[in-house]
Amino acid sequence: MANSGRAQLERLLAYLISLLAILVTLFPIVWLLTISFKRQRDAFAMPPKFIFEPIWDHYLSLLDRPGFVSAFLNTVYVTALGVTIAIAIAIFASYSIHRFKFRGKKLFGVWLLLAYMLPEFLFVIPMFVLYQRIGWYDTHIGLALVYQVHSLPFAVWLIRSFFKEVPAELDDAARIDGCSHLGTLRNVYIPLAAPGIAATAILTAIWIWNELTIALSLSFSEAQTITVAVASFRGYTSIAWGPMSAASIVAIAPMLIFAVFAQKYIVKGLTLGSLKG
Amino acid sequence: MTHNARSQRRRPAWLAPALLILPAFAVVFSIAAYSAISLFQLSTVDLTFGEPFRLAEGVGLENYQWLLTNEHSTFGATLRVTIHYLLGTLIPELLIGFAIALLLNRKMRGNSLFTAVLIIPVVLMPSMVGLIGRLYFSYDGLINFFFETFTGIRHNWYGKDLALWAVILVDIWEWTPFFILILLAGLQTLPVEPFEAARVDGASRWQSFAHLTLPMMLPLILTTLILRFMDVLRLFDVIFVMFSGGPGTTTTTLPLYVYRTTLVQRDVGRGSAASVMLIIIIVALTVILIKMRERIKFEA
Amino acid sequence: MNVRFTLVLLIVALVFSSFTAIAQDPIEEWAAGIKEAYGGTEITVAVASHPSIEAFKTMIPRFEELTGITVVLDEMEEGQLGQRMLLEVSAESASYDAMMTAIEWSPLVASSGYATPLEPWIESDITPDWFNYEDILQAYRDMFLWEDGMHYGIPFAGETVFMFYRQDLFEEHGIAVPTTYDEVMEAAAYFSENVDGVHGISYRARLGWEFTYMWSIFLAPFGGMMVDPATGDVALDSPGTVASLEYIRDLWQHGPVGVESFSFPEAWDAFMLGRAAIMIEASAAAPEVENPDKSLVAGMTGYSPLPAGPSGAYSGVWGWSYAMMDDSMNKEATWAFIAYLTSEGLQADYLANGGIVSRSSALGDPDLQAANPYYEATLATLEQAAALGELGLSVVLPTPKWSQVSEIMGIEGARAFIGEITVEEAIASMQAQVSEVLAE
Repeated sequence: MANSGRAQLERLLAYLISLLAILVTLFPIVWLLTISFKRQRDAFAMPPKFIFEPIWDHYLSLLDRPGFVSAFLNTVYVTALGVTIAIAIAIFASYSIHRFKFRGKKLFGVWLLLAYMLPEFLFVIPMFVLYQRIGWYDTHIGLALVYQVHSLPFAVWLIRSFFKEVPAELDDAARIDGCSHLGTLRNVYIPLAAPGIAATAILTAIWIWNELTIALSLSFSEAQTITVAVASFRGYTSIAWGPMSAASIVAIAPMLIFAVFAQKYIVKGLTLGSLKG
Repeated sequence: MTHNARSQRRRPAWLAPALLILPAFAVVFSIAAYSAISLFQLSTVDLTFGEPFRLAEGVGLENYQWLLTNEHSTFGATLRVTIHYLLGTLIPELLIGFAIALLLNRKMRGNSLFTAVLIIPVVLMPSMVGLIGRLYFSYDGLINFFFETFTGIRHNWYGKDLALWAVILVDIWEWTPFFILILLAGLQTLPVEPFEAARVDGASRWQSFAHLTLPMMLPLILTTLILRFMDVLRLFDVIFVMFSGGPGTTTTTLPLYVYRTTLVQRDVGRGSAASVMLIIIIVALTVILIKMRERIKFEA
Repeated sequence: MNVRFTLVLLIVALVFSSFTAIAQDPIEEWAAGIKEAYGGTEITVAVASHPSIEAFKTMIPRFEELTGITVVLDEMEEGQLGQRMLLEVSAESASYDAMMTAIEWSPLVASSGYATPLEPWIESDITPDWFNYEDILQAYRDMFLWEDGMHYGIPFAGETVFMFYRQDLFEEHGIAVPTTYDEVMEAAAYFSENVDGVHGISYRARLGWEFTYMWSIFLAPFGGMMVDPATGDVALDSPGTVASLEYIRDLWQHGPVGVESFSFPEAWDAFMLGRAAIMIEASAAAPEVENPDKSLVAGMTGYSPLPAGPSGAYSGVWGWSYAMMDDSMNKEATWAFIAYLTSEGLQADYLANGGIVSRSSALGDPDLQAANPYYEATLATLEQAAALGELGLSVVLPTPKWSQVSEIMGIEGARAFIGEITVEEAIASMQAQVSEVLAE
């Protein structure tokens, strides 16, 4: 048929373009990986050295570096805390928005959206003055709570769209059986929307993990996160490109692994949220 | 029926929903409202960051006046740069992303691999992306290496003419995959029947694109644009690591302007005033975009 | 014969070991006294990542062992340390016993009372004999002198700016090492135009404080100044200042491509990777330039004091010190810590581990000079910095508002540098804004 030639050409083009997309996306990261293994003078040689002698020094120096390991652990802790709080609260809030009609519902939605939109650095100064006064500066819980301003609306938005997919009959059936709201939530919505909730948790975790501005301003040593630690490689005498790239790779490695395994959920979460809005 | 039984309970109907959303509301509202109010307050004082806060003196709307009208103020330039950045990133990302998504909307092998790789930029730490950008766009960096290999010329990405483009290109690299993935997923969930019907009716590919695909995808496109739009106005790390807002004022977007004014020049009053204006712009534009989307959903 | 020989050897060995035993005594003796009085105290010190801190970290374990004082180091990036300092000053709190303080911050910590004057401590009994305060270069000591006549920091890493140049390239092309800025411009032009892959001169011009840092060196040689010492007025619009800004802007064409966005890593890399023939940059770059792991021009670089402008040759000093917090509850132990690490007695250890030099005994030592080709240039440049001080000028204005001033100068100056506005407009803008800031 006349079409198959063209269809085949398109098919070929499609594969080529995806290959190109993959290469372009991966290349900078792979290159950064090589920098983390190169001596500084090899790292910036022109023309670029594709063959070189690898050294482990940069990665090893990370262990020596004060606070890098603890920054890593802090980030894990703050992220876990932030995600747990966000999901827990969002589940209730989403259920409420989904299930009930009440006055101010639209306003609440708008308010959440506005809060989500606010650039982080805007609340940094007021929050840091406040935190100083109440002693929450440089605490894990302090950070986790501020992150809610961005994470909560996002989580509510997403989880609500997943709840919408739960068939109404199941909800009614549960109510007929005499389930309270909490019961319905526990027995019907959460199990059915579990993949979606997982997707939301993952996306929230990624955002918190990578967040820099708030972490930079509201934490110092106790709760210092890894984004701040990476930024700190800009030392006095020079940017330690080697250790900094090693640190960056270590910092994103968990997220990368996470993302690669959870990519289905992530895309599902993002699209579903967008489609149903 | 059960509803009757329920309404016979003495608890008012709004109690359950209220209790359920209370924590969310409380946390978000308190922090966001507190911050917004503080910012408004701070924007009306003259205070240097580093001075004890109790020394702030009130100056009314002077800070706003200075930002908008003073000849030494670079706020206008900042707004221009921000708009250029917005347009320079969102439009290409949408067009390229959509085009590629359309092309890849077919049965293909290696879908998982593709998604796995393209999701990577989404999870990258912004400061790391900035670091990559700084390395690559230097005169002797990789980008020029490729340019020189293919076109024989090298460019000064660090200079005033191209710095903003360097930053924009980094953003495009980072976020086009996002558009591709979401739009592709959206395309794949479109119902098949309308297209088959159209084909049976003899519609050309262009016609079915223009009259079916586009309208059906419009809500998703708009939502994705809104998502990115909100993110762009927040972007700080990449530009900061790459150029700190320079050279000159050529890459100083609003977030950078607020940072430099508040934390480097330590002028809390002016920085807060700039922040307030940023909030107003964000709110206004988002409300417009949302209203647009609602109207389209209605019609669709 | 053998027996005699062995006996002599034994005696020599004994004498030797007794010498070393005696040589160790002062430090251990002092430390024993400290241990008795203050052993068991814990002190917290805030520091920024820096080669000198790396050196200190190798020395601290011995200090802790000898004195029984525990040292908790809170290390962070320079910018963060600055913010931390601002935070503490503004919240009027003190979480540390000592803090590493930059010259730019000294006026603020002194005037706010966050740091405590150190004279009483220097003169106290806790100070060991081998501390030798006067051995620290005066130019560095004076960086932390405040208008009340007291010093608020003990410097340990002094820094100046001098000229780096490629001896091999200059010799090869038969060009004399420049001694005036006009000659620098000529030499830079020559290299940019005639030698492939090499630009004339590398420096940093990134907007903000980095631009101001670089520009401040060129002010006095062209007769410019920030504040007139005679009148106290802001004098950015003086003809000398304008001339210095124009000079830097003209130098742009002979710099590496993209110098307008260069921060110090890029500036140093350009020179270290052989892409520039001259570099006018911080002395802290010298150890990097001589490090073969990072630099391709190690061993090929000459160091010279700064060339002269129409008004003379001047350089500047910057640096880091330890300041002691006024609110500290452990001042005695903290002072013991500071004195120990920055003393002359421990200097050899400090330098051997990469510490940045700041004592005249080290800079003037012939062996060290031979090992470090830039020591002599450092000494000469320090004299140039002293000359600047004699004019009543300094590269950093001694005001708590310095960061605002340097930001304003650094933004307007950078805009003129790339041609976004004219030099006249930039100067007028700076003059107006800085006057406003300083008048408050």
